[in-house]
Amino acid sequence: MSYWTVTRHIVVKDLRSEARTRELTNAMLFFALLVLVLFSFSFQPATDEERRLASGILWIAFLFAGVSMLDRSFWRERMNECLEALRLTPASASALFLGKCLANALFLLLAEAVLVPLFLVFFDLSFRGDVGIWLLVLVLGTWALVVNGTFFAAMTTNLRSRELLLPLLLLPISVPALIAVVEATAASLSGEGALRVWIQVLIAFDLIYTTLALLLFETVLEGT
Amino acid sequence: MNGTSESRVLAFERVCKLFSETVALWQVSFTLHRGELMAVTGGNGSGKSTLLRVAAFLLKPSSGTVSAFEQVRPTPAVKRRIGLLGHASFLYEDLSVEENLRFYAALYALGREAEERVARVLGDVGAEEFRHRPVRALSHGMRKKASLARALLADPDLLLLDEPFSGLDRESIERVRALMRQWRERGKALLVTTHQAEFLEGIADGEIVLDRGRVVAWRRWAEIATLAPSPTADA
Amino acid sequence: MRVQGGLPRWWFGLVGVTGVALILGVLHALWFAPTERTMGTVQRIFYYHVSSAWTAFVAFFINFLACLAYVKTRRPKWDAVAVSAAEVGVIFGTVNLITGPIWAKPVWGIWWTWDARLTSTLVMWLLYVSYLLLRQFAAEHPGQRVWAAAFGIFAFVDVPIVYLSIRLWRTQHPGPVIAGGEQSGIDPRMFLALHVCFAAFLLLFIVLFYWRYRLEQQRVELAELRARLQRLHIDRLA
Repeated sequence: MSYWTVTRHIVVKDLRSEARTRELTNAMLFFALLVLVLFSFSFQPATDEERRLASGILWIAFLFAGVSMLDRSFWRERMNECLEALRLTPASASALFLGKCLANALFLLLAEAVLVPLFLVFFDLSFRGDVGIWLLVLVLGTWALVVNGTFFAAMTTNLRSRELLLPLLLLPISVPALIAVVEATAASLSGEGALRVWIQVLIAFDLIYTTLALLLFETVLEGT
Repeated sequence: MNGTSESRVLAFERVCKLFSETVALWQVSFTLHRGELMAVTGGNGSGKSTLLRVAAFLLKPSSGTVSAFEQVRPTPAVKRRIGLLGHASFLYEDLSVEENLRFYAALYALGREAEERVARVLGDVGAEEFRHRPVRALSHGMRKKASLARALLADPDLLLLDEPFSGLDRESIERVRALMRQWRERGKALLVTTHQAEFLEGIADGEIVLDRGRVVAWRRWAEIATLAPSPTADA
Repeated sequence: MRVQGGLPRWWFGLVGVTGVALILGVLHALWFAPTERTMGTVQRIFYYHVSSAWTAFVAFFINFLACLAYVKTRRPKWDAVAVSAAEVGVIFGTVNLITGPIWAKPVWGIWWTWDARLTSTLVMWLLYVSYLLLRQFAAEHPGQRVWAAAFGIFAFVDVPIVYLSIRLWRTQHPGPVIAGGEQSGIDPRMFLALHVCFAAFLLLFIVLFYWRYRLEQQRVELAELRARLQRLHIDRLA
C-alpha cells in the first residue's frame, strides 16, 4: 500500500515540476529534433537496408535525448540535496527508484510521441507492418533505456564528470536492447522480418534489469 | 545524571569518520537522553555538520558505532523518529512549500494525519503566509523556516538541527527558541549546532565542543554546577 | 600496525613456473602443432587468440563473484579482488581483440566482421573498460566501491544477453570446432597446444592478478596510515 503511495507521489512530484518548467522535455525535444533533421539531409531511405539505418538514427536520437533528460531529472534531486532527504525518510529505496523510472519513462515517451511523426515525415517513411505492435516495441525499448539510465544517473549524479560518465555506462549495457529495438523498428517499417523474437529479447532485457535495479538500488543509494 | 538506557536516544561510541585521508571526526563519544538539548559548537570545519549527518545515518562512520533509540541500523521505524535540518533546504525549487510538505508527508507514510501535520508544522514555524509560494521565490529566512517545517513533519523524537538560527530575524529566532524549549519539555532530544551559542543560553542542558573532528569538551551544565568546576579543556 | 613488504615467496615461484609454461606454449604453438591445411601458418595465432579470450572470461567471472561478495559483505578485500580481476581481464581481452583481426585478414579477407562471437567479445571488453572508467571517475568518492560492484553485476549479466542478441542478429563465424574434441577432426597436437597455451595464460593471469591485488591492498593500507599520521599531527598541534 504505502509502497505504491511513495511511487505515485514521486511520479506526481516530477510531473508537476516538469509541467511548471518544461526543462526536460524542451531540451530533449530540441536535441533529438536536431539529430533527425541533420541526418535527414544525408539520405532518403529507399531499400530495406536504408530503413534499418533510419531506424538506427531514430533510436540514437532517443538514446541521447534520454541521456540528457536523465541528467536533468537528477539535477532536481541534487539541487537542495533532496536525494539526501529522500534517504532520510522511511520510504523504501526501490519504491523511490520505481517512481523516478516511471516519471522518466513518461517524459521520454512524451518526447517520442512528437518525434516519431516528424521522423516519418523527414525520412519519407510509413509503417507497412502493424503499428500497434510497434508501439509495444517503443514502450519496451524506452523502458530498457530508462531503467538502466535512471539507475546509473542516480549513481553518478554527485560526480563532477557525470555527463560524460552516464553515456559511458549506459551505452554498452544497452547494446542488446538497441539491437532489438532497431531491428524491430526496421521490421515494422518494411512490414517483413522477424518481430516476435526481438520483442522477446526486449521483454527479457526489461525484466532482468528492472529486477536487478530494484534489488540493488538501496545499496547504491547509500554511496551517494 | 539521567543515565538509564531507556531514556537514551542517541549514543556515539568512539566514532571516526574519514573522507579519504582527511579526518572529519575522531573518536567521538557522547550520549543524548530524552528531554535533553545539547549544543554542538566549534569553528568552521570542526566536524559539526558531519556529526549531525552521521547521527542521521546519512553517513556511515569509518569506525565506531552510532545507535539511535538503541538501534545501530536505520530501520524505517528509526528513520521516522529522526528529523534533520541540514545546511541545504531539502526542498524542491519548483514546488510550493505546501506541496513539498505534502510530498514528504507521503514519504513518511503519515496517511490521514498528513493534512493535520502539514498545517501544524506550518503554524509552528510561522510559514503559513508563504505556504503557496514556490520555494525558488523564497528569501533565505523563509527557506530556513520551510525546511525546519520539513524536519518537524513526522513529529520526530530526535531533532538534529544544523545552524537553525542563521538567516533568521530576531522575532523568528525567539519563535524557534520557544519551540525548542517546548520540545525539550515534551521529552524530545535535540542536538543543535550553532555559531551563536548565546541563542541557546538557558535552553541547552550542555555542550559538545568540537575541534578539528575531536571532542575537546562534553559537559552538562547540571554536572558542572554540582561537581567541583575544573579548569576546562577548552582549546 | 602491520607493515608488509613485497610479495610472498610462492608468488615468485609461480612467476618461474609461468615463464616455463609460456615457453612451452610458444614451442607447442609454433613447432609441435602441425600447420593447418587451408589457413597455413597464420592459424597458429589461434592458440593465443582463443586462450586470451578464455582467460579474459575467467577474469570477468571472478570480477562478477567478487562484486556479489562485496555487495553482500562490504569487505574492501572483495573490492580489491574485483578491480584486480577486471584490469587484468581487460588486458587479456585486448590481446584477444588484437589477435582476432590479424588472423581474420588473411583467412577471411577482412579485418573485422560483425559476427556474434567477435562482437560480443568487443562489447564485453567495452563493458569492463566502462567499469574501470567508473572507478576512475568516482575515485575518492565514498560510493566508488559499491557503485563499481553494482555495475560489475550489471555488466556480467549483460554478457550472455549481448551474445544471444548478436547471434540472432547475424552469424558467420566458424562453428565451435573446439568443443567437439577429437571427433570434430582437430589434430590432437593442436588440441594439446591450445591447452598448454591456455594453462600458461591462466598462470600468467594468476601472477598478474595477485600482483595487482597486493598493490590495491597496499593502497588501502597507505590511505589508512596517512589518515593516522595526519591525526597524530593534529593531536600534536592541539
